[in-house]
Amino acid sequence: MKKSLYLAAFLAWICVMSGGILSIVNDITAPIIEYNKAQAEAANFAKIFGEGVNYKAVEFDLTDSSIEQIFVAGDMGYAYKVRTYGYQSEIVYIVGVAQDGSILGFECLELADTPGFGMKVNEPEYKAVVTSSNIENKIDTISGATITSKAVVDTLAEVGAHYAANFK
Amino acid sequence: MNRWKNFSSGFVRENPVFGLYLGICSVLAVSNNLDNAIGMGVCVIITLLFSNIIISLLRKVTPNDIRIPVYIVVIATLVTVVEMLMYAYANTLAQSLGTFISLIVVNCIILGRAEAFASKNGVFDSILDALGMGLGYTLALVALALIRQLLGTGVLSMSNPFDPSQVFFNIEIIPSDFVISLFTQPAGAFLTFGVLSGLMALYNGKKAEKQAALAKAAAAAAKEGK
Repeated sequence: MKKSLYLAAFLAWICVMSGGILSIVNDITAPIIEYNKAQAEAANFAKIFGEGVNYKAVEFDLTDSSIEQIFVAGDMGYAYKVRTYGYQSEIVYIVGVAQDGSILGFECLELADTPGFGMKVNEPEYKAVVTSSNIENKIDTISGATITSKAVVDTLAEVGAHYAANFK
Repeated sequence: MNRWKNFSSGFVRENPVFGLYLGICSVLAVSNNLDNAIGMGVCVIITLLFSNIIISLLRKVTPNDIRIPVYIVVIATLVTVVEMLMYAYANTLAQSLGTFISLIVVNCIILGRAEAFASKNGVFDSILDALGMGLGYTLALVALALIRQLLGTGVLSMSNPFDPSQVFFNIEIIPSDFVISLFTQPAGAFLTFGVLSGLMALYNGKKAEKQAALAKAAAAAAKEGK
């Protein structure tokens, strides 16, 4: 009994130390990581719509939706920021939809899946597949990376439904 | 001499990848180009170094019954720290290594060295062991990456992990009509790995044979002398 208490206390002590170290490092790195993310997000918006576009956030009411934010991108169309879950990481991406529903661009902001498999959704080949399509059409998944690409395709369909209901 | 042997054994004789066959999963996955190989190698060296130091320092107070959970907590903490630092200061590299950074936690080299070496030896020896093993792992990764990147893309390139726009070198060696893109694929990783580890086994085998022959000759000479 005494021994197991000691073992538990030792393990707890190690965990407390580890938690302390992690919170210190997190305090230091979190603002930089946030800044990097904001930079990447701005760069990706610029990739889809070009520089100097004015983004206006749109209020929307969707419960149970993966859509996180919607912007009106000047007179070019609409930007949707979507959060979903792939094979082993969260995926956050933005998709640009033109006034007529064609997809202007698709860029992942956050993705930490297996390189060579889930990571393929952020590679030029797959982006070309997405951007050659219309948001209201069904988009193909990637064989070999079905779970990740299906998460993307399913949420793109949600975007399509929202676009058809509100902006068309 | 002994210390040097302990440090250098990780390079060839007990190379963690080609000799002990540890941590192969990440080796096959991230050896597609030099940037990834070196970045991953450095991450593993840092994690291995600190985990060996901490585990060696704790070896006298760690109760034997719970040593594995203790190692796992120590290693997981270190890897998470490395991951956060990578995402903060070497973002592009972190993006391209993806999930393999967090998977260093379960890289068997690190747990293996903790259990086999750091838990039984002093801090200084553990540091040498970590550096030897870590460099051995990095060398193996770089060797694979060189072959795969050269045959698969025909270009050898390297850029600064902290500032990806700064390219150290980018040389096209094989014209793009003659590259074998299979080598950038997982199958190419297996092929390259198989050939390299075969060569390594051949070399180690030859060396062992030579040593055995030498020992035999010495024994015969001693007998004659009698």
